[in-house]
Amino acid sequence: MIPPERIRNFSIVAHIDHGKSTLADRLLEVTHTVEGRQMQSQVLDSMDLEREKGITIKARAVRLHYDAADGQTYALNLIDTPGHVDFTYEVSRSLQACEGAILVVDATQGIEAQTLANVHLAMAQNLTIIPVINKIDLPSADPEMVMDELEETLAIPREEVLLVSAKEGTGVTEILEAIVSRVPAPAADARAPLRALVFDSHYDQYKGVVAYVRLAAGTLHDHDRIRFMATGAESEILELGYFRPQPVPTKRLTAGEVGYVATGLKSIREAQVGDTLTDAVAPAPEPLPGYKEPLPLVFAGLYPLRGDDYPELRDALDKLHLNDAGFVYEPESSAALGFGFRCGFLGLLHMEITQERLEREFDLDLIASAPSVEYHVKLLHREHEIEVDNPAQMPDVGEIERISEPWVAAQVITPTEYIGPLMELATGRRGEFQNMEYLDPTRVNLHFEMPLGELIIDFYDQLKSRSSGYASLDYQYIGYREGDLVKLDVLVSGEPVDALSLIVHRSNAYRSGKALVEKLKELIPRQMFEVPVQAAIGSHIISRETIRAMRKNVLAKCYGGDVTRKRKLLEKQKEGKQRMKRIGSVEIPQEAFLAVLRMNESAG
Amino acid sequence: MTAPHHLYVHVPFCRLVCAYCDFVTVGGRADDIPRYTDALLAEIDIRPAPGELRTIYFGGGTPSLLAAEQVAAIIDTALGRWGGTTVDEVTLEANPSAREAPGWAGLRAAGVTRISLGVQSLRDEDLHALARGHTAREAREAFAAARSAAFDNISIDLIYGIPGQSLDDWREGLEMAIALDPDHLSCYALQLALEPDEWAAPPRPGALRWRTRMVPRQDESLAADQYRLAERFLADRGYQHYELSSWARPGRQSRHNAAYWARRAYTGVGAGAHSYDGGAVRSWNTRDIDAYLAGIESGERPLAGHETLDEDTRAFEAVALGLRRVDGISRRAFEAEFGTDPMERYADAVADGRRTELLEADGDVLRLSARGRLLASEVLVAFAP
Repeated sequence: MIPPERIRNFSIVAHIDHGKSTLADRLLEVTHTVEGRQMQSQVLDSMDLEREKGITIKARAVRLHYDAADGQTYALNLIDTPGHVDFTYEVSRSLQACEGAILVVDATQGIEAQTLANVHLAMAQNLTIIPVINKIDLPSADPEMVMDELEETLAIPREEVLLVSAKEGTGVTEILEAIVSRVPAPAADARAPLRALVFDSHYDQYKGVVAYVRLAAGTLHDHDRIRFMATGAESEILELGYFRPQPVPTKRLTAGEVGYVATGLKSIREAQVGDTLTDAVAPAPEPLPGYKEPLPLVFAGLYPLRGDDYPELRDALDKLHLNDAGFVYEPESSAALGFGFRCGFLGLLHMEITQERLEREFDLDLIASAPSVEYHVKLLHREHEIEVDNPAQMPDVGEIERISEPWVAAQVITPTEYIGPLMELATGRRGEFQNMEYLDPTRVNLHFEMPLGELIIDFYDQLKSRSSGYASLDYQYIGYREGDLVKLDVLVSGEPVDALSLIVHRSNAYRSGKALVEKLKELIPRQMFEVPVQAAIGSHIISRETIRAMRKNVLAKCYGGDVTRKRKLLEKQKEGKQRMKRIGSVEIPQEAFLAVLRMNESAG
Repeated sequence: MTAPHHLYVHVPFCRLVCAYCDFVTVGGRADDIPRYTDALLAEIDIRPAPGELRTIYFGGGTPSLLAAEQVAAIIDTALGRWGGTTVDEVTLEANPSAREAPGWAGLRAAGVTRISLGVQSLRDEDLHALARGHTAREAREAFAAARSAAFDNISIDLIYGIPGQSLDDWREGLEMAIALDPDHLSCYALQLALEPDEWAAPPRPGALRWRTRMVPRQDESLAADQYRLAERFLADRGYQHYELSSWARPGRQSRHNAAYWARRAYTGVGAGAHSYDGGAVRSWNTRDIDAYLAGIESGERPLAGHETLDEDTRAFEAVALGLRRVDGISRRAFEAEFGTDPMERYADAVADGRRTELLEADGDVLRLSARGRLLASEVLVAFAP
């Protein structure tokens, strides 16, 4: 066993593509945690999706054994963090489990906005920052410029900065030495009552819920009886261990260490991120601070493209739910789309990832409705408010006394040159400007309050496009506020399509209705007949477009007898048709159900 | 009796590669023509020669860039290989540009019986829009030269759906085409692939920019009107519409193309050429000309791929190719081959097609309606397995 003074817990903070995964791979290789020949690129990102999108969804913790220059062997625990606004809370828990963070900045790109939010999180938790400039092997690398930036924006002295090429392995040993010499050992009392922070968890078919923990105090033994303090769930430990990166069982974990606990619990909701694990027999008097219940904020309907797939979708959701505490779902039905599920997510990226996992890991073809928030609706002559998270279920306007919607406090960090366009964007989405804070002469933090419903409809994409990708966004839920909201219905060929309904502020209704039908006209392919597309509030039509009938669709002759190509083109067209939903006699592609997300592309 | 067989010869060379073309072509390599001709002769020698050879078709590219002696050598080698005198149609595609005028008499003497002339339009505005390397006047002269070299079977290609080409422009172009008195016409809609499929030759970057400019100026509805106009106009002048894009004087239908639609066996030689054994196997050569030459010169057919068709796929091909013929498909013939009446086998697709009046069932015949000919893909997709 390694004593606490030779343990170092650290994470890596980096902007997408700045080389976090490559650096992690290299650290694993240099410490012989994974041998070069077994190295599958980017070992830490074990989900396919993560590898493809270059983002880390679930935190991971790997123990590296490092023989340092001082002749001692150290246990270095690398705790990986997700890096997106939807998972800010998970990031903060992961950082909470560390004493140090490696800040990776691309030598060709410099500091980018997304990094700042996480560095600030790390600094707020008093973590030791080890600044690393990566990719110095590239011809366009400008480490001097990046050192200037680090100095100006984060007050990091240039002599602390390490110059690295993770790809070529240069400077990697220096990083390991810096972790040993600069990051403090964990403060740890092995004899105090057990308190372990859960910074991640996953569900395993055989071992039940596996919690990833950092022991703040006390000792965990195999077969101990444990309790999760927030949820009250108790179990006996089935297995205890750490990751290298595959699980290595051990007899005990003591204060300062990082590892996993297999609990046998059946639901991930019983061992949530941020909860404190303690001894069920001799519990700690107080949990570690900062636990938050995951709060689904964004809702959308998920429907199988083919009605027959409903049972498969239900099974897939059951399985995902086991492993994702932020995700909730319940059955619903739509006149247009049939039977499906209303699902709640932590944010938009979470929704996108969940949908992709359903399609890829479970081979399902899905239609997603546009995202919505949960409205609180006070009906006339009724005492209690009802909750509506699906615009299609909004009661008739005549029955409604008032509607409230969730608001968030949003922070936008941006270089000063984009202040104008971003203010315009936020106020156009009913954002209320609070104040502006200068982080340094070139960078500001804009504080707004705005309806979440406005933020989830392509706000993030617009933010990125209006700031050339530099602005970053963070938001926290602050409560419900009343609003003058109306339901906008869409009719295709005279038939209302409930899955296309949305709730908008009355002042924006005409503009939104017009933009929506214009976008639908673009997204719905021509049919064999003319198709009118209308937007309506109640029985009042506010906008109309017509999709002209298709007149011609024929392939040229098969040149030189290339029948194969012609046939494959027809087969491909058929595949395309199969991915459309037939509503009445109109075939509507999946993208159309997300038209509301793309309204601002053409309508501006 | 031996089964009929057909030979396709691909000649990829072009003096000028058209921006809209996604066939296997190569510009600026005329020096390689002798070597390529030798490769074609060698490939004919190493490929099996089953059945009775009935037609030969030189497609491109620009086969008229071959010298008459080279064409003669290919025809002679094929005739020798198949050991028969049953060939009754030898077509050669020719470009009507004065700069590359072929020796028409030599081609006729070599055994070519039919010319397919890439006129595309008889209006200089259209030719300019398509960035073709010839003028309307050159097209007329090429046609006249071929006629006077005793070619009594000449087809011309015309393109509609060209940006800037109105319905009246198209009528005018048709009138000028008819004035030449061709034996056969093929009318194609200008199809510009922006996202080329994996089975097409990838466009050059310049061609892609050109297409990107042109596509927004195309009008699907106008192209549909132009097609309907061609149907009426050509019928009035004695041309029989026998396939979606083909019209012919009586007895002048293309026998070689008919073999494709009837799914008869053919051998394709040259870069990117496709072959079909008449049963379950389709195969194709590499599109890359250097790889093709290297392969043949090492004594092997440079096969790029092949597929074995299952029964469903063969049945679908029978429908998809058969419905291209204006006469449609014979239910009895289909049943004889596949064991079921297509009306039953494809009950849903047929019902859909008849409900939307795109498909007509008339006794033994299943065919596209006039409107169905414009929406053929919409109809055929429903038959896909």
